[in-house]
Amino acid sequence: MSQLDKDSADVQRIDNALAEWRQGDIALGEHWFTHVADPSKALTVESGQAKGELQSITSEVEGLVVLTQSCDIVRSCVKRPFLEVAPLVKVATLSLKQIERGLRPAYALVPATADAALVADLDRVMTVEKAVAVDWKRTQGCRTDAEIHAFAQALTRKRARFAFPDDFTQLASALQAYLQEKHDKLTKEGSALRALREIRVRAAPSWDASKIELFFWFIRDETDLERKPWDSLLEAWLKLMPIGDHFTYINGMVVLLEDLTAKDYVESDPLDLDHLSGHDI
Amino acid sequence: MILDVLTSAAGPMLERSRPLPICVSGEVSIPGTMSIPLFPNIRWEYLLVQTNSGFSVAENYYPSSSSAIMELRRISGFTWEQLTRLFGVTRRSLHFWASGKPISAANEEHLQHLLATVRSVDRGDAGENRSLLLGALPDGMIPFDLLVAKEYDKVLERLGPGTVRARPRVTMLSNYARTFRTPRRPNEMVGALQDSVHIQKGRLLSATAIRTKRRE
Repeated sequence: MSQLDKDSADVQRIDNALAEWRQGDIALGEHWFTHVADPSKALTVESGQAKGELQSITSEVEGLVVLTQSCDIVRSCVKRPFLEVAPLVKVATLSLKQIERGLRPAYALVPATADAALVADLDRVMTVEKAVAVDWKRTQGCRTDAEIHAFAQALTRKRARFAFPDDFTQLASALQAYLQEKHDKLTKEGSALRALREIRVRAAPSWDASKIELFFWFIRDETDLERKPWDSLLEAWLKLMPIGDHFTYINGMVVLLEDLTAKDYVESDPLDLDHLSGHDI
Repeated sequence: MILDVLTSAAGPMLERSRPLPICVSGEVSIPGTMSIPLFPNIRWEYLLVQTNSGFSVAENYYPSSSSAIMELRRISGFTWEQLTRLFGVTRRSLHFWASGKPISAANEEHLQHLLATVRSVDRGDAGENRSLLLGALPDGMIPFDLLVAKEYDKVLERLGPGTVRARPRVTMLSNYARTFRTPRRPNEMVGALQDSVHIQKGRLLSATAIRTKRRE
């Protein structure tokens, strides 16, 4: 068999079939997923059931979810012949809630299958040619702008999450513990933490320098009707991170989003860290 | 506390389409009119103007110290170090002022004069403003040094008025759009769990040998 001609009816049929698909859409009728493994050094239950060396392992899953960006899905298969898909997997109710809250970046919530506790396992990605998907039955995965945006954000976070240096993670652990412990408390600290929309950190001159100056942007919500004592809270937060030989200067500010310049924003990273007890899991 | 305030001139006949200033605690000022001190000891932060198409921040308002520092930095293009030299304080002090720590009356006055001055000479580009304010003038004076010396009028006189082009009006995003564009809350962002939690099906459907040629 040779490659399809770009003007062939088959190409047209594939493009037509994919025209309605969007990122986050699911194929609930496809219960297979293929990855490559070496059964002589099996790392999964499935590859442990195979024999020999390098094997293409196809295992059973609950369905497939499309990760490819919508614009690339609908682009002609002549120019973009591939689709990336992840398996749908079943999780317990508590895990589903954690995934919904973004506490498990290895998984993405698929709103259409949330009732069945099926989520996208982002640790596994399979590439298929678009022709393979022609006969898949499409189920819309995300229904609103907010759902589409949240799914795309989950994919971005999985791939683009900044890996902070270990000693920074160590330095920030007290702040991290404080955030987790105080956030839901009915105290002034809890109220202030709930009013933060984002924490960003800037390392100058760079994260790989021998001596680093850190600057934390505590970005608060626009409405602060209770007039929180931000300066004293800031002082308490900064005290949780003592300076040392590597991080020689640590400072920060509580600001509104509109107070930041675009430069401030792009020069900093969102404080995105693993759970304190989860580093070795 | 959110207050709707009408001026005496407007009275009860005020049309809904007329800008209606709303402030979040403190002092209200209506552009072009005098300020109305409501709670003298509380600094206000926003002056929102309600129009038929929603709310926008009023122009030419007199900002709180926090937002004045950030605006001064944004317009002037000065680094934090340069800003500290304007006030003769440490970077840390400046950061705390910008985070809401009370500022002395003298520094507050200096801050508002500085802001008014840089607003007046604003060329519409932070880099250009910084070069302008740090560059030597034909008479040998440096505007930055004049600002340090609180010679605001001399800066205005020498640099002349700015040539800022009005920013195009943009409609505010809906609450819905703003909400889903809000990043995940900080407490959720620092609690990522990485263990595998899905229920393993563990069923192999097929395995096919892959023959590869390794290049030495």
